[in-house]
Amino acid sequence: MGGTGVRSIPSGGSGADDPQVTHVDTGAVWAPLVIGRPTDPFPARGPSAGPYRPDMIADGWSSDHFAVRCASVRGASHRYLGEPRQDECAVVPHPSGAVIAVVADGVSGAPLSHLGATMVCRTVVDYLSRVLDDGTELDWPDLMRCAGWSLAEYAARQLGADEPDPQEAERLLATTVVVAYVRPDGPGRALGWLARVGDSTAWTLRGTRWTPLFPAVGPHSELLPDSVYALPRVPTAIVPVEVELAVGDVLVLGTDGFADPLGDGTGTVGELFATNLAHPPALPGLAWLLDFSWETHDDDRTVLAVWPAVAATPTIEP
Amino acid sequence: MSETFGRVLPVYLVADESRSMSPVVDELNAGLNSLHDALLREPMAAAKVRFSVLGFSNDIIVHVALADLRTEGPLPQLSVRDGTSYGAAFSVLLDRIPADVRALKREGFSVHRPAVFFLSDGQPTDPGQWEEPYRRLVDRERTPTAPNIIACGIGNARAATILEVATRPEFAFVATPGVEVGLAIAEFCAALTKSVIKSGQALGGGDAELVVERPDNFRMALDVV
Repeated sequence: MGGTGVRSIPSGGSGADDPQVTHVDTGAVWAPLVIGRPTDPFPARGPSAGPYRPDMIADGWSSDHFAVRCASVRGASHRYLGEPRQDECAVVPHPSGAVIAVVADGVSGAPLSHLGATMVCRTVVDYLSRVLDDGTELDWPDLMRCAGWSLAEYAARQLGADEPDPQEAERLLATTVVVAYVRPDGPGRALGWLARVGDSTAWTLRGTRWTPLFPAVGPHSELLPDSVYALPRVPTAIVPVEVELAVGDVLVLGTDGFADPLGDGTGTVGELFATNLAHPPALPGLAWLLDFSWETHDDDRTVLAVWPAVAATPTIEP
Repeated sequence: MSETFGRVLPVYLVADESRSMSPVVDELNAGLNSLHDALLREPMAAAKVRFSVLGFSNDIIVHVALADLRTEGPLPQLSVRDGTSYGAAFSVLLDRIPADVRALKREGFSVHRPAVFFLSDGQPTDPGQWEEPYRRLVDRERTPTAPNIIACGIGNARAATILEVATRPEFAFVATPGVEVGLAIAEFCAALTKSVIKSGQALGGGDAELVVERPDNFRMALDVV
């Protein structure tokens, strides 16, 4: 890693045990990690268009069965141009003990795709919560169709249109999404089901080994794909991936802004995140990790991680 | 490859250097310098572009090859020679583009579909010969790294020919009759700069279908955005 030698999250300042310390050099403690050639310094511009959207978010919680963390950070390109973070995430506990996790990535060519990403995350959480409340069988294609339709209705509301217009919704709000429903399966174990539209993706992490849960997009192509699948367009076949999480496994969801620099997980980024996701980090820690500086990787980045709890009572609180 | 060093877009400016370009070659060189200056002011965009400049007449001169313009000195000046061989231009692209993509991938980059900006002020002097290398170049089955070609015609270039060269009708541009050619070149260079600096991601398609009816189980989430 570009000369820093830093491989773990800052402790939060030396004053943690010393009530007399009133100053922590946050600029030094939380300076972004540099990987490879850093991005040249520049002032990060606020998004010029409303509604308000924060530069980064960090979230997490613990339950009897899981600990979760997620972070979403605006990419250097959007900061430079004064454009909003188009990534979004949501992670919600269900009373059944399950976890509902969603990561979305608004398509850069759609001018309001950041709102589309948020709309889809909220819709997925709402839909899955209802299914789990009702104890009915989860219909993944229907979930994705409803997520897609939410964009059509949202666009109609925003535009004051009488009828939803899916084409217009696609033009304005298109977004990828990856969804995980994870339920406990004994101490330290869990079962998960995941589905996606587009190139947002997921892995299981065991030690330093990253195992992708979805095939690479265009794996045999010499070039990057010319286009990306995105809601409100839903592939004709939505087949969920099932995953068993054993003791020590971490389920990780992410957007391509993380997947690209991660690659197959055997490089610097893979090692960095494997080391620091061995256990749930402090809440701001994941956001800080994710905000590493690497010149050509300037997209928004989002990571959401789920750890099955080994003990019945969680020992790590956000 | 354990990890990628990011995504890059190979851009090729393929410029007519036939004699008829003499009156406007200075404008073209000025436009290239403006492009270079603009990219130097936008280092984040420039980091993701690898730029080549090829001049064609009866042969091809590679003025700039796969350059990172942030670290490139002043760009070489285009000049003029005899002939307007489209075939020479497309044959060289057919050789270079797959090799360039391989080279970038060896360096660790993921590579976007290359973009060729083709500028000509006249009709090809090799009719009946340029079409075959062109077809091979843009056939994604035979040439997986087939570029998108944005074609711009000025002066005596015919709209029908420029439409044949552009890989999509909306990628074909012909200067309005009566517009000064130097101005058309300046506009071409400005459009090139804008395209290079802001190369966005396309929306989807393929075998995905738009959701066109309200699903029965749909309910609008209340706490929206």
